[in-house]
Amino acid sequence: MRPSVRTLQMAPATLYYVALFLIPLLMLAVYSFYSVESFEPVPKLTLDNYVEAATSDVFRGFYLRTLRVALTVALIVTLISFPFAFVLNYVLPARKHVVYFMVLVSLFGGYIVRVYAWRNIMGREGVVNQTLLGLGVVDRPVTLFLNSELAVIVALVNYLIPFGILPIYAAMQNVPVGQVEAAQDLGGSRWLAARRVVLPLTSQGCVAAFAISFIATSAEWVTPQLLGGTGDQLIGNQIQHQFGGGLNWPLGAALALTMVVLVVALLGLAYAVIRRWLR
Amino acid sequence: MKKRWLLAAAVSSALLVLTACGSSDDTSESQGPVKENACENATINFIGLEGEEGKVELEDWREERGTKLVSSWPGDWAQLIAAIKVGQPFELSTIPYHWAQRMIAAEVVQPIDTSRLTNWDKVASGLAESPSLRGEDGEIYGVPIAWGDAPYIYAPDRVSNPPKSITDLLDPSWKGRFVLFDAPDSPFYLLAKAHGFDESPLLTQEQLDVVVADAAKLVDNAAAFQSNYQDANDRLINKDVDLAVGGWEAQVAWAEEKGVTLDFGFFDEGRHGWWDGLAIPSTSENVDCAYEYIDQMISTEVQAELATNLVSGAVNTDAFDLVEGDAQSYDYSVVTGGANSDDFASSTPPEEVADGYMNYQDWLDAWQKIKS
Amino acid sequence: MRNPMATRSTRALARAYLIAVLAFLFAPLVVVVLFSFHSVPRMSLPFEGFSLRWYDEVLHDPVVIDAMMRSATAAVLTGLLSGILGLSIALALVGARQRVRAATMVAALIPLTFPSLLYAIGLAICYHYFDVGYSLKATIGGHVIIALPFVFIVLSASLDRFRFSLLEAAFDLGASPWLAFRKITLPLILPAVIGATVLAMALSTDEFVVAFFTAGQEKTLPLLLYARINQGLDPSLNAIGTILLVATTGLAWLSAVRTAKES
Repeated sequence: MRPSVRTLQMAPATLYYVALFLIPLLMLAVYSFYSVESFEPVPKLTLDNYVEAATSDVFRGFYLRTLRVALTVALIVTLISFPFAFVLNYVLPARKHVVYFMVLVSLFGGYIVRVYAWRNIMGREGVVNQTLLGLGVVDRPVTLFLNSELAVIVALVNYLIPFGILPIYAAMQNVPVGQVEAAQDLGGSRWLAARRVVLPLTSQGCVAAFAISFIATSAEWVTPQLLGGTGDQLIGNQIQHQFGGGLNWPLGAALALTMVVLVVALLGLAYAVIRRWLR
Repeated sequence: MKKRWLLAAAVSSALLVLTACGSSDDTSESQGPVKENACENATINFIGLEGEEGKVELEDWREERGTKLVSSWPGDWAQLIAAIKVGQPFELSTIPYHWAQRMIAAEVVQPIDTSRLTNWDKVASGLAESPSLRGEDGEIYGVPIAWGDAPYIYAPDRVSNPPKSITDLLDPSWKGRFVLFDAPDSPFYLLAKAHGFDESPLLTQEQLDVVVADAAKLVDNAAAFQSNYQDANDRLINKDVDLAVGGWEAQVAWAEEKGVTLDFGFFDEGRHGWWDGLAIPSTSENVDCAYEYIDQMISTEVQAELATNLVSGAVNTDAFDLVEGDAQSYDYSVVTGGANSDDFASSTPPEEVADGYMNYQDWLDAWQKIKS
Repeated sequence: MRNPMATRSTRALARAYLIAVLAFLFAPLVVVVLFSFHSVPRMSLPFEGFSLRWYDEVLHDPVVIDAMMRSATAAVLTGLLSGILGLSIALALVGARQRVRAATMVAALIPLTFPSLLYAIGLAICYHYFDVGYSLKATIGGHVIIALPFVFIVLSASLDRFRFSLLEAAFDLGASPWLAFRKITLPLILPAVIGATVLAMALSTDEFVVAFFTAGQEKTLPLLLYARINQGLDPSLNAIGTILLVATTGLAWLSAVRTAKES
């Protein structure tokens, strides 16, 4: 009787996935093998798009920069999120609902408006500069903050931290406090408890935090456009360009699918490393 | 389990075949007889720049007919093309000069029969005869409703000596102080002129290489790419930059509303013209109404009002003297074949060029390379 | 409840850390809210005085109100739909074999590896091809796919540590699957379910790319914001953002209160 219940439980989500995820993507995957004749995708199958995605110097530059930025963002997000969730759960549990709630709230407020807000913070007349000037740390506004990779990374980290905290926090909900205390009673320090008990039990949450940030950054194009300088565009800008101005959907699809393969490969590698380290 | 997978595979491959077959027969049907008063109680779905669809200027006209106007601006031109390409129905769209050829080639707009526009004869010759409105088939695809001459915009309080040449901006003293559009159009065109390549925007491979080397320095010196005119203005107002290479006289007026003084100027390499027009998207469900509406948009009264409101040039020759306010500053000889008509040059090469010259795709590829 | 494992100084350090991260998280939001009250149409310092003019403008703008209603509808439906689908699949995995669980996990997470831009265009082509048309409903269809992996991560992380012994004990005592679900499974995972649903709603509220390609004329709030930003920045955009923030804060607060009660 139980297997049939399980099938029943799986069916709606599975059907939904097939209809609204698999089929659209298959259609697009087919597009990535299309040719382009006078800006129109035509069903002449070719591997040229992938060859171009893999061999062009232009795209290699964008891929490498994107992977570097994505790795940086994902690492920072995970490194900030884990201690945050840990402190919330085990050090200051009294207020954890309030703080968790605040983290949730910070997710809202309009992504694009928030990106623009960073201009008011990091700009020449922005909050950071006004503060530094007021404190006498600098005697003229610093123009390095805005229109730089730094600005892109800061804004993305800011946007993605809640997405990092949530899965780690959720995973920690299931680590019994008793187990952590027991590890301490046996003479372990707090960090040892964290390392030996909490981290292995929440590794899935950490991997999720890392992966979500990494993937979100790998396809990002709005933030680099609005906060980055002329040399800070990512592969997402190129993909977006192919779907729009470049009018080369097949190449755009091939670029995006290549990025997906790169991301999955890198995440698989990272996951294997983490697993080994935790053992 | 195995059976189910086979079934899924069969279904999806069937779908794929269907897609492959279905994607090519999307061209519009032949039109029936022209319908009179097609806008009566109709809804016009417009995609493009709000403010350039006659929202204010044709409000009464629409009210008389019970016509509803629904405007949307997708955020950028690429998105606009994509929105039409995936099949969203629009009766009207903006067609800007620098995207016109792409929109025509992508078949997101349909040819316009100018004999159906009673006001077409009043459109200034420099615009009406411009090859930039036309496709390779010689048909007209866009009706200009506003034009300008691409000045640069700067903040006079921070720029005491406005640049004379675009090459001034290659100097280290300009590092991080200006924005430009993320497109090769204006920088390549002007840098080529600065090198004395008089045929610009027609360039040979060697000439383009010279231009690209300079453009790379220009891009490196720039603070950022501006998404649009408004974005450039926001950056100027916030004092994050002191100059925007691609500009529009209207920006000075916008800044004034926010209590900030900006000014405009031209590089010695010359001006290059732009126009924004209206086009009928391939997905239009009421072509007759689109014609009526476009005809209204280029009428004398509407043009005078529109140019005044946009701070742009009017396209209707009868409207030139009726324009008010800051928009009076335009030099109309530019579009009427007068003394400065050379200035209303296109800044981009066509998609198809004679042997030995570089086409627009070559420009775009070179531009991408600069950014990577 | 005092935690015996923390000394005074570590608690102070821990508190400072939480505050620092929260301050960073809220920095852009503070700027958004602050400038929504700016009396002049400029979004830069110096701050010249408070005014409610932008709220007045926005709340009397039927276009904004329409977009807000659409975004709210999309958020609620996305939350419900992805919550139900995510829960049913997470439950199906309770007690399933390791191989099945791992395979499902991978399958469920695949959408995350696809840029939303890519997915959005695929979806739009699909809708066009099957003549579904573009509407808010079409957007919600895509939002559920965007939200599902997140819902699934939160739920399966919660179910991963689920104590199956409890469930088995219940079955041994003759409880029906439904009763066992209601009395044991649901109370244990409810906080996660609520968290997941709110997360889905947040994702939908802020989602731009899929909405752009599929919403047609039924613009959601982010679409309206993006379009308006490109036509000139003034504090009315901040006012919209602030209203969004206040509305969703209320929502999140309700769910947080529920969560606190359950645990």
